Amino acid sequence: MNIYVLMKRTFDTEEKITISGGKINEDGAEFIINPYDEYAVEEAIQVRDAHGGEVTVISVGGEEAEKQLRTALAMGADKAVLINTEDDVENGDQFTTSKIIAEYLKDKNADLIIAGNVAIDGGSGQVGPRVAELLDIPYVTTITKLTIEGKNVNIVRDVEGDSEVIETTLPLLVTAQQGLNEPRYPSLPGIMKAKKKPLDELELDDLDLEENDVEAKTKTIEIYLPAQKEAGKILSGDLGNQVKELVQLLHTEAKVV
Amino acid sequence: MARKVLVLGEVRDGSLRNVSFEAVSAGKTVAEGGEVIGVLIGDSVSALGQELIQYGADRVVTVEGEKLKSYTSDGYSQALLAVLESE
Repeated sequence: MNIYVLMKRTFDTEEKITISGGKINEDGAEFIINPYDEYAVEEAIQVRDAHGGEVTVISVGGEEAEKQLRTALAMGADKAVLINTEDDVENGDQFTTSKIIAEYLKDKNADLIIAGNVAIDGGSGQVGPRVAELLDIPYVTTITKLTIEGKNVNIVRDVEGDSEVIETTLPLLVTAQQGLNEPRYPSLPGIMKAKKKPLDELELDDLDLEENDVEAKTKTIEIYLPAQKEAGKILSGDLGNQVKELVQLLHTEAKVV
Repeated sequence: MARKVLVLGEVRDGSLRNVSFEAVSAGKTVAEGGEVIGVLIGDSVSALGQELIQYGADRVVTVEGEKLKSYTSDGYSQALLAVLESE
């Protein structure tokens, strides 16, 4: 089985986000495989081990994403592809990423494509479904169980706490929800082997894409941190006066009555 | 500039979800005086149209069918696309 995993390099969940000059500060920050994509990598490896085939992990991004791709190889993926957009794309969005990935995948005869259900940074959850739409194959999001028999696929997906059982067929794209599996840690031999596994680097040119083919459909106007939560106010004194003061404050300060 | 805005309402277990009312409100802000049209898709959603209007939609278009009872990306996108084309 020909399996592809869509992976994104994201901020470590422990990182504190700061903003300078209207951009998120990346200096000295730790980066990881997007946690939902880690479920995707693990599932791909398990499917390959059960059914045979090959797992290729793809990432669209800059040079730095090589580290996370190597980690996926160390977990057990067979090949990695970095589509380096550093020189060509300045402000990409979900359209940009989906278009690039779909262009790469269109002649690869993928049987199964697995992505994370959402990236913990941008949080759009759009790239997986958009790639499937562009490739004109079925997709199922937020899956928690995947069973494959021949061409038939049985899936359990999480619908905001409820479970939905779905039958579909390969080729297929699915996005991984928490609970799908328990991602393995790369073993030491795995890490050693990963260094020798193929990691191809491509640019837009290699996919016959021009910069304006992937130009973002949306524009980020501003990035800012949520407002600091203000401390509460405790009224004191005579109960009757407190009530009066509260009504007054609700009216003039909170403006809710 | 007045804009025409379509708001897709979300129905769960036979009632509209709060996020739909928020979307109508956001739609009104974006519309800047233009028409805000609610869209409801499902097997029995007509009765919910009035509620969307009470929350600020100017009118509501419903698409009903047995096969739209449970959400499917294909079914719902086809229905929504048909509404977009007719508007």
